[in-house]
Amino acid sequence: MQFADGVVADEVQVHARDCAACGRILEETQRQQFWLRGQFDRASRQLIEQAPPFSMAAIRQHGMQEAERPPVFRWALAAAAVLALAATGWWQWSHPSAIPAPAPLANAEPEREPVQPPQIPAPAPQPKRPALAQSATEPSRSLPPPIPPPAPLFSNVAGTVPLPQRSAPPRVESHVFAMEPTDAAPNAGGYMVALLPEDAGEFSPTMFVLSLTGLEPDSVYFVTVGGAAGERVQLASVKTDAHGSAAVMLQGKADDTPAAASTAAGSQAIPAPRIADASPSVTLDGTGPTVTLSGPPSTTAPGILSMRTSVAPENLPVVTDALGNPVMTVNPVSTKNP
Amino acid sequence: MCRAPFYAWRVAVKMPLILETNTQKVPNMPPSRANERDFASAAGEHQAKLYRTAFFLTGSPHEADDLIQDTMLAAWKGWDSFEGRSAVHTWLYGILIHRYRRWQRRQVLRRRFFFSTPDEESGEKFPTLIDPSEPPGAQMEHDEQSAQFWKLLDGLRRKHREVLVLRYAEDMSLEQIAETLGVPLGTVKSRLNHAHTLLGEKLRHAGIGGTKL
Repeated sequence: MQFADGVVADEVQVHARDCAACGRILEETQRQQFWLRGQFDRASRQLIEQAPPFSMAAIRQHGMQEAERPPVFRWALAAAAVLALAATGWWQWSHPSAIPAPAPLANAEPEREPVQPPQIPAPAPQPKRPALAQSATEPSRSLPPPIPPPAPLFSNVAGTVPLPQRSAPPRVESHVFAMEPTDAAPNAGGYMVALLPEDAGEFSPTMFVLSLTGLEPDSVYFVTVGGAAGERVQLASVKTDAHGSAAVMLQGKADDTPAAASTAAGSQAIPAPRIADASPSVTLDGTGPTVTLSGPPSTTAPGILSMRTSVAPENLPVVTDALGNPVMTVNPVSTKNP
Repeated sequence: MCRAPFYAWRVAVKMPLILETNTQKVPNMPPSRANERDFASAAGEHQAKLYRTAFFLTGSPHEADDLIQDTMLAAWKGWDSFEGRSAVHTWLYGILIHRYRRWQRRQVLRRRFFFSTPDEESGEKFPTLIDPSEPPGAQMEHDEQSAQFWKLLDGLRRKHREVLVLRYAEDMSLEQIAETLGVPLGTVKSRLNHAHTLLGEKLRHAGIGGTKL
């Protein structure tokens, strides 16, 4: 609501009387105007008295000084701008990775070879036809040759930019075995994955990963295998999460390296698994489509993958609960062959 | 993150504004002797008011002095080109406003590159005007109000400060303000309205309101 200072139109006053919001704005603005005028007036009286007297001589002198004075400020600003641009250019030049340089378009365009009209093979001698039939075929012969597809503009750009050298990724062979529940835990399930290098030898490192689901939440389970004397040997222990899931990773290396077991995300880590109370150790072998448990070579540490001799099904890994009741077994037939 | 490219870009964009000399408005030629007497008469009449406006715009007596000198010099050089299409004081105020804008741009640059202005270095943040005729008690109260007033004025944007000063300090009509600033009348009304709104918010924020206003 704009109005001339001190002269409020009648219609505005009438409206402000009825409209509370407009009346408040009008009153506030008038107060502001009064306050501003008071502040300005108070300072004005002194400023008018303090104002420097007009002097033509001072103006002339100021003009002469200004004419003699070199425009240092402008020169300094121009120099600063040039320096700033130079610094920016240097920064961009010295940090080529920070600002991606535009693709060199001029060089990117491949050299186009002169377009050669396709060579039309000489027509085979045809028998003479009537004049009408011969003229009907003339337009098709006079058509321009088909235009070859345009060459890609950036076909040689990749050639100018060196690609990062990548080492060949290790090739890993994997086998997946389903976990089958027992009556103790009918809802349980999961998989065991065996990972090993493709060129695995007898003592190549191998990794087993067990993914377990449908178990009791926040409960401790053990992964065991059968020992040589028929006893159960613990390879790992794991505590399930709030959803009854857990993951166990078993890895083994050479003969004299003990296997390590660890729990993956989603499972709560528990103290180091109690592996092999019994001195005869047990080995896992995942090199084939059928998982085999072997053992026990008396000289090796528990969990070492070394032997390939097939063993009885009762020696397959079994997941047991804290009381030793088996809740899951491994189906020895691989569900996924590479 | 390095902001050098940003500042370089800002300087490059502002450079034409910084280096402009307004040669179209004020030719760089002093007037003849006969015209100089007219100029001296007209300028002498408005010198004090121009100084007052310069003080309200810059908030510093030293800067107001410099601004007045620049304004008078530019007016002296351009006096021959003054065709009388507007009132002399409107023309002089127009030059003053132009010089003030150039001064403020330089202030912004100084703050940006040197982090302080001469007045800030000398500690004179807000001007103090002492009226010896007032009793000490009233003087203190007025000084407090005056400090609040300058603080509020300093917090406004340039375009709002200009219209407030010309309107309430110089008592110009809206048409005169439009002519002085070289903007349409509607723009002046809009700026004045916006300035009042912002000032009201600042006054409320500062706890100044009601009967104090």
